[in-house]
Amino acid sequence: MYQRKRTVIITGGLFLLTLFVMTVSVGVGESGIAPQKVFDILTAGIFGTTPYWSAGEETIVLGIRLPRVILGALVGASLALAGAALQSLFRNPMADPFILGISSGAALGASLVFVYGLSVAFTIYSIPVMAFIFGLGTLFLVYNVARVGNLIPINTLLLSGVAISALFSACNSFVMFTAGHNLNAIMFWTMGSLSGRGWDYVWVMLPFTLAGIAVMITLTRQLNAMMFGEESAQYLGINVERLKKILLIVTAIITSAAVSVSGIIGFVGLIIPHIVRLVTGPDHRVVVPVCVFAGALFIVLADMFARVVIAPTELPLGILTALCGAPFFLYLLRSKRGEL
Amino acid sequence: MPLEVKNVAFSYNHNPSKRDADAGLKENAVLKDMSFTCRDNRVTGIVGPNGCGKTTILKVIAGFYRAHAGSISYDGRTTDGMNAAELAKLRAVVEQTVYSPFAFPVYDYVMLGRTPYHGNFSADTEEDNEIVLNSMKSTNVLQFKDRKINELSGGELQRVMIARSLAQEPKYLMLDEPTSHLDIRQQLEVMKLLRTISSNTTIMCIIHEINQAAAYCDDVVMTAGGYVIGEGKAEDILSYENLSEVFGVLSMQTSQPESGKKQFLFSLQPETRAEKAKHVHVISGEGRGRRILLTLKHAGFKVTAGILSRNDGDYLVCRSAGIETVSVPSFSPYSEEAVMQQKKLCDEADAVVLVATDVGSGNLVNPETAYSYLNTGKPVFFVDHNLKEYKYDNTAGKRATQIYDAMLKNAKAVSGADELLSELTD
Repeated sequence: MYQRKRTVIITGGLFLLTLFVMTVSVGVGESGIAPQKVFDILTAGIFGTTPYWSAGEETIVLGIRLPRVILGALVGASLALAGAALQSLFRNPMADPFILGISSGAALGASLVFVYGLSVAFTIYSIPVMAFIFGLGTLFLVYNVARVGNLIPINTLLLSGVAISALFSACNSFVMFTAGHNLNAIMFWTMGSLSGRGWDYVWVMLPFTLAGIAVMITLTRQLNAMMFGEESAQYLGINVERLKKILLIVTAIITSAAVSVSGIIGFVGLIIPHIVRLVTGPDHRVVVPVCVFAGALFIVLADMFARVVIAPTELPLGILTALCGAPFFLYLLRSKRGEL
Repeated sequence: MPLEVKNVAFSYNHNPSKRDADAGLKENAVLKDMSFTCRDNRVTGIVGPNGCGKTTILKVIAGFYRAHAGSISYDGRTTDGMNAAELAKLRAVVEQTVYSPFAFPVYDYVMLGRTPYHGNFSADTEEDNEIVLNSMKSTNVLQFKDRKINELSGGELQRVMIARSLAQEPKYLMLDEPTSHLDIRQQLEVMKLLRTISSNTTIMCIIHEINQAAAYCDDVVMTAGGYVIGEGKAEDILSYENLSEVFGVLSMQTSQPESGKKQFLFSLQPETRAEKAKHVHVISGEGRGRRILLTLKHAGFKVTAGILSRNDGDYLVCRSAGIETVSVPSFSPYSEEAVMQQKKLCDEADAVVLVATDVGSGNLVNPETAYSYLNTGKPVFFVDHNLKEYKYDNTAGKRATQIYDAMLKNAKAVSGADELLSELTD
């Protein structure tokens, strides 16, 4: 039974926890800074704390780690949100933000930049811009292949997504195979990383994530109705075709944005919605807001470990998300069998 | 105001959003030209063979598919230009079954019925809660409101689905074969529930089971091949002719003793047909002649029957199939006049058929008449369904047994309708 109060409490609690972990995470890395000091640096502007820290520490916290942690939170929130929405739309627990081939498209875009130096307008942003364009372009292609008149049959959409995804993966493999040099960079990018991302990335990602959250929050009732199929939803008064289009476009945009700033971080969009459902039940009025913070929390934690596990080398994020997420998910699956 | 369906046509191969007045003329159209009306606060059953478009017409009426031609109107308002949310406040649909990969609690599922009454942010109100609980009470599912939807049995799920549709507070309720996966008790419970709901809701229900339609529907719309074959009161539409035409079966009519509602026993139609229309008179009773009467009739014979008492199952079948019958009032002795008529028909007939029944002094005339045609050159057939096992003989001096013995010796004895038919068509 859905209770608004319970949702607010869970979401609020998770929000505070996320903030706390973010603060801790900012302090963690090659040069460790105590959480108290991090907190003081972060809030100096508000509380006017007299600096007892070095200028270097301030730069690390405000200029390097903070944007990276915030970006991680935004990416995690976006991917989890997209995953939850697509699992409901496709009524398929296997669905994730990359199911329609956005990741393959984006990876191909990025590889082209890495290998052929193909670039657009701003050189340093070539990779994110190309990844974004290719990601969205993939969805456009998938969508139009599946479209019949004004309608988009879900099964055709899934299949065309799988096919086009395979096609782009093959293209990407070809590009990588012929690349020779730069292979490491491509590999690292496709496994996802937040390394070296500054405030510019945060400012680009922020509006996408916020808009995505805003749209999804208004669609929670519709998402619930969609869980019993398009027909059921239609009979409950939902304009199914419109809802499908909105969901596809919104998830495609936020997923493409996330991929373009952080590479392909797998598993988050698949697993976070499931973990959330196992804990809160399947009502999207709880699942959607909780997913936002659970996704953010998960990526921030994963990124923190990525920095320290084999320091000074950084581990690609995608490895860690799968490595930590999968066992936890399996544990939940076993302990709450059949209640996915 | 009733629900009106006018000249609706639909094809799955047609561009789904384009109107086309000639859509029904296309070869692959599922619905060619369908018109019917569901009266207010009645249960209207949609009956027809598999693949004749029953589910499709429901989906078109409910607005999931758009009709390519024709119109549908609720309350005198056509569905053209009505959006999904408006429609959802008018009608609710109970699908054949629902499935979700995620474990939704029953209460929350029923609460989904309130969706059309909510905006994006409004919370469920106490009123919603009450409506949901009431609809769960009336469908008797309140006891498992905390269980998960995918843990329910077929019957439970069906009732939960009906509860959700009631929570939608519809004026029109549409159900797609609500009893198809249920055991017999659950079937009756669901149909009874629909009768209760129909006191203030117009119900349209696709029904597979003809006897349920006969027992629980006020009206029946019979469909076949994308057309409406007949619509009207259930007792008029569910007739020997219609069932024979639409389903290709022989229907032996009986009736529920208390309500007088029609019920049917079904058998397959004979494959052989008589080349020339022979006249056969059938002497039977106790409902034992039903299949023989209908089989011969369908095979193209001129069939007459009698003497039959008017409460006899055979008499009902003769009446429904339009077979000329010599009959006497229930529980009355056979009149002189009836016996004369029977003799006359037997004289005219090319063959006489006697079906073995229990015999007492009251109906001894029947076997006697058949007996009198033995060795007259007129073929006499004797049908004893349990060959050589005599019926209960309650006549003085075991007269019936004597007759049956003679019949076995001198008449052509057959075991049932099919054998009789092949003898007659030889």
